[in-house]
Amino acid sequence: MRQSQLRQRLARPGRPRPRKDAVRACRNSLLYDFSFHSDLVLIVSVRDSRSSARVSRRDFLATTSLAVAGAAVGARALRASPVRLAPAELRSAANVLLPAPMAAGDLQGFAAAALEAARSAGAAFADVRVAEWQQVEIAQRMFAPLTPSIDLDGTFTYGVRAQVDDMWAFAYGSAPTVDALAASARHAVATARSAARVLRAIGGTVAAERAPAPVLTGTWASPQRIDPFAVPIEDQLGLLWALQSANGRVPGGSGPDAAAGLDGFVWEREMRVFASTEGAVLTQTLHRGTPYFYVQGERGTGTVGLTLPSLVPASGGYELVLAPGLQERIKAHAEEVVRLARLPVGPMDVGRYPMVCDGVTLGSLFAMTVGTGLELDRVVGEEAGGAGTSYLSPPATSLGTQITAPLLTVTAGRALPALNAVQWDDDGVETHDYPVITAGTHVDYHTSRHTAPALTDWYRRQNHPVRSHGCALAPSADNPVLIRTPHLTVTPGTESASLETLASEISRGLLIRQATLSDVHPDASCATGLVAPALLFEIAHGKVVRRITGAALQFRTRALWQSLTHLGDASTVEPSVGRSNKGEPWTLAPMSATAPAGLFPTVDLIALR
Amino acid sequence: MHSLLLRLPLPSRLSVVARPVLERAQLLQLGQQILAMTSADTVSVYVTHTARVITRIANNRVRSLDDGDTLRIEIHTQYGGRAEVWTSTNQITEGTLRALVAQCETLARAQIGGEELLHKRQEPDPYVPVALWHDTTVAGMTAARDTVVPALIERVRQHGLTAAGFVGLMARSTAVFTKEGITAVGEETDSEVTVTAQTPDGTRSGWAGQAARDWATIDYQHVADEAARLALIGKDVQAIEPGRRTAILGPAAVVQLMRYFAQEFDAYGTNMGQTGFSKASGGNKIGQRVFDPRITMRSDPADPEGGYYSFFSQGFGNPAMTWVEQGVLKNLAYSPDYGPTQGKAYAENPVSLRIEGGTSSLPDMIAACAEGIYVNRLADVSLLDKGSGMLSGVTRDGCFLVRHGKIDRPVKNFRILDSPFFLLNKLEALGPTARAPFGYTPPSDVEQYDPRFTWPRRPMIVPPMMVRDCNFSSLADAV
Repeated sequence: MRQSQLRQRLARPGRPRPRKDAVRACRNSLLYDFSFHSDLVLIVSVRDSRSSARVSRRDFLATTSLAVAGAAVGARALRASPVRLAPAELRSAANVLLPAPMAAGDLQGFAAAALEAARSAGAAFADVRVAEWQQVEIAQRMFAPLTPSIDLDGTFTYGVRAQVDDMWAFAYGSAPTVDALAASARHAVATARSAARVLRAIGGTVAAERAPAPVLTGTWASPQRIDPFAVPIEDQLGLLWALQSANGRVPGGSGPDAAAGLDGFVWEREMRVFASTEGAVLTQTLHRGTPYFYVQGERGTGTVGLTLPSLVPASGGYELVLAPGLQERIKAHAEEVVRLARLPVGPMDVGRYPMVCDGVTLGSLFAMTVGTGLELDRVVGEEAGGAGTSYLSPPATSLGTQITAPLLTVTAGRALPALNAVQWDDDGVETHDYPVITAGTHVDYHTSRHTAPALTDWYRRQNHPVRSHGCALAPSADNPVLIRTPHLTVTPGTESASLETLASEISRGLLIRQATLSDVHPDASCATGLVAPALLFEIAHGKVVRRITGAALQFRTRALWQSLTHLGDASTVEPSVGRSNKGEPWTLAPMSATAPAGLFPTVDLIALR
Repeated sequence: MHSLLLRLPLPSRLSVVARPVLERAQLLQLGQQILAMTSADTVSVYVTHTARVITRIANNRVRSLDDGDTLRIEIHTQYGGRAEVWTSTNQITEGTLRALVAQCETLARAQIGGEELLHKRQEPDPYVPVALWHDTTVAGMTAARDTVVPALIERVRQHGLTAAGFVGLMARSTAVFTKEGITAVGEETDSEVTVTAQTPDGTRSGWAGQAARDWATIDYQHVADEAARLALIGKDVQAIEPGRRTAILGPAAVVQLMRYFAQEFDAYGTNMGQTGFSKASGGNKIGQRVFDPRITMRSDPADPEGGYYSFFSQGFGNPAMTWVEQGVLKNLAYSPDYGPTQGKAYAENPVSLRIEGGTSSLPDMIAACAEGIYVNRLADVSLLDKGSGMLSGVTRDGCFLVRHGKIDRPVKNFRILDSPFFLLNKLEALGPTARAPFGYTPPSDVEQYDPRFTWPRRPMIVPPMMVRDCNFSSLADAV
């Protein structure tokens, strides 16, 4: 039967997936297991002689060299790719295929109309987000016959918040007309007014206090060297083919059968205008890229795959997929996958063991436990009926205390090149880096203008201003604004320590490679959890000897992080990028961390079967 | 600006008769206008228009009021058997749509090389008549908030408890049009109320909810009262040893354990050896007893409590299906591509399920239990292994030790590590079925990319259950 085209990608934050994914969801069995492994997986397999899509090593090196040199992925790559788009007129880039984006002035005009309507209706305060978003996804099935898949998406959305007395309301929509925005603004004001009247009697309204913030105006764009919307689609398919061709035969390999996969690039650009009745007008153009490589390698009872840390979703342009040295890294990963796939496979006795993990795993663990627990709206109970609460509460008893081992220092922020990098958040606050854990001590939370006043006492004692750290985020302009965990940076250890060095100290224990955010399952307060990684190995006498199946680790968050004894050095730092849901109804937003490897002396291994 | 093909309904808080989403005639007009712009051999147009009115409560206050509508248009274009091109937008300006259609057709024509994909002409299917729209829900979108929300907060607060909650109402219209003449139009409404009641010291909580397509059937006062009742059972919460115990699972716990069956019943995955219905030697277990004989699972678009659209994907008809009958696996979900190759009729994966019940009420189960755990609700349930159906989840908002036929005391929450494939073979009792509320249930990885798992989730009609030897694997600190 015809192999269905299957796709794994980061969802457009905040937006329900297109129906085409519902179609494919009915068929997504073959690659199902990988949906747990990673949002971005390059699984480099050893191709056997049955493969009809082989490229000689020389051709591969030639095409990839051109690609990584940043030259137009032109003639050589096109010759290497068996997929062609027909005549020259069809060597189009997404810029030609998508409608021309709206001008900033148009979006600003819509925003102004919404604010004017809100003011006229009697709002004490209002703000609005108006955005146009476009995306092109270029994908290609790995094995012959090569079949490209191209998606073009675009939306116009807006969301208006209005405050009347001590009540807020939010109204959103998608019609790009002044009438629609003005009607939504009036609706928000009327809703807030009516609710305030009804709820004031029972004390059910919300305090209107917000942390002060400068009223800003300005324009910003996330930088990109090469606009992917200007690179011909045919060239991008050619580059994909060149990268896919890296899955060539590794010398000495006789291993995994290559199976079907779908690899691709997802490019986004969004122009978003934030404006408020305070006078803020902020226009941001955001460029994001999500490369994904999705090739399944299989040996015996299961699959092995490794992500390529240099090919992760990030802010930026086409240069994200033209990293120097990419071919060498792909080759190295191919060799490593073969090596790991050849390991014996089986269960391990449940019990307590020391555990070493790589940077991806440490970052995922931290982001999903402590990182999420630092969202102040969870701490103060605003998500009690939804996403949950936090074990790091109340602030008065957590701030200033040792919540992790002293060797851990973590900062948070939305700086480049993180996927959620912006200059100003969706409250209009300028983003900045801030410490959350300093030498194991809890020093701050993720805050917004609405929640920061809850920390007034703490900030005053620290001689810090009461201000938002810029964590307000609406994944799409028509989503409510919530606190979302920004990018987390875990400071690496200062002493020389590679992943191998950390593992070499273990006589019998565990190694986790590349556990993603999706592999970590905390409870609703992030106080306990379970991690079920795809790549769990047994270490014996300092060496990786076996791949473990049917097992997971369970932990108590506070005890886990307080037990951390070693961190890898800067060479072990790796990114972990995924997404998290929050809100009712839930919306999806990026979540990411960069972290070094780590060593925990005792973790609980449990059996899943 | 380009002219609009249609004028979307504007939000109007004061109008109780306004229809918040596109009507059938408007959908037909839009679909025909878009198809008229196309020249490709194969074109499918999907239009979904959703309006939602949401109120969130936290700390005995209104946390947010979120109202609006979302429009989505997807166009699928294909020439001959070449690779397809998809595009989507939420704009209905004529110029935007014409430009998108034109450029997509350019791309679709251009894809030479690669495989000529099989394309079989889609024949029209009969659609089961369904009644998913209720004007009472539409009326509730403008009228309910001012009465329901204060009442929920007050009914919880009068017990000295802190309320968190969710009141959501939705209206949606959906249509599929194909160049071959398939037209499928549907409309639905849905609503959900959930309340969490927490003690002032934060050590105990109770949760209750109701979901219904007809807002008029929601008893929000009962929801608030039940959440408060559960929070006030007993005094001090005690931790007891994890281990395998008899579990009395309320409907809100059962629905979380059963929600991944949509993937498990997939025929292709099963035949590839990837689900709990796969045979170790290859193939599937159709005809074999897979669950307790008291378990029967069905899906029916016309189900009075659990109905859904009678079409799916490109307008394929959604038949009523019996998946498991008296414990025996009867059917799997074959896709429209896979089914014909296997000589099987196609059906949508059962996102909506009815699990037939029994006659033992929750009080009956408690009375019959020598020692066990009553689990009101499960949260954060993840599928860890599709082949065994192994799930991990955490009890939440009401977990009690049952001894000698009575609720003994509230206990600390647990992490459960078990599989419905095991639990449904360790059945002790079944209760009467009802649509179970999901509450906060964001999609897992396998559900994330499927619009059927946005809020509100499709109805699941399940009974409370008593099962033995459920694996309460560890303690969890969340309340």
